[in-house]
Amino acid sequence: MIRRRCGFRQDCLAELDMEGIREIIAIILMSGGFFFLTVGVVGLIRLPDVYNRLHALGKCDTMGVGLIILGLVLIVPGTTNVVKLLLMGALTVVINPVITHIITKTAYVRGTSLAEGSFVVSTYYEEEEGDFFKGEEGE
Amino acid sequence: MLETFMIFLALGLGVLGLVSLYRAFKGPTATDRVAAMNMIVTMVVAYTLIFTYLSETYFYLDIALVFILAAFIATICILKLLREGSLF
Repeated sequence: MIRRRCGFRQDCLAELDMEGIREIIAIILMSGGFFFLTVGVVGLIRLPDVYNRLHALGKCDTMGVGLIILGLVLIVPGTTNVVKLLLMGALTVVINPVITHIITKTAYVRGTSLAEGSFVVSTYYEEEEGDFFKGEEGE
Repeated sequence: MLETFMIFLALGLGVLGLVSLYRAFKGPTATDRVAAMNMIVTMVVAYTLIFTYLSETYFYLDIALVFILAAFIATICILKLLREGSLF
């Protein structure tokens, strides 16, 4: 598990110590990422509406995968793999909010009904479409 | 300690993917199913990264990268189909 590439005993001890600290930090970061993913899935299951579910999902998703990738950056050997992981983290951070926004906009355009007791502040589509949220109840 | 932790992390990610599959099965609208698909894609990417470290075959990183991009294009295509009625 721990890769020792060292000649002298003193260097070996120093590298072992650094590896141990790095592994502990990686375990803490990946536990945080798993916690955020768990919170996102609980929100996806238990919240009452498409918009509420996307509100829970869009942030916890990005944060969870970002923390897991940050934890993996600390323990993966090789510069190429680290660069690939960082590129993947940047792509996730850019793509996940864009996908969440497009899903929410599509649900709004299709006229998905809101949950009980919630209302819309913006009246962006109201002039063209009339009563917008009197549409279908699911499909 | 690290390998045991990552095996349990992979198991937990699999359980979370199955739990979000429940929303894809029971979601009232199509956008719920798209959101659940997005969550499952995230779980699969994280699982692929952990499997990459556990098996020490690092070309799976490219597979995870391509999987993110392909899922992005697929989600955009599904949403355009839902929104406009046709893809092209």
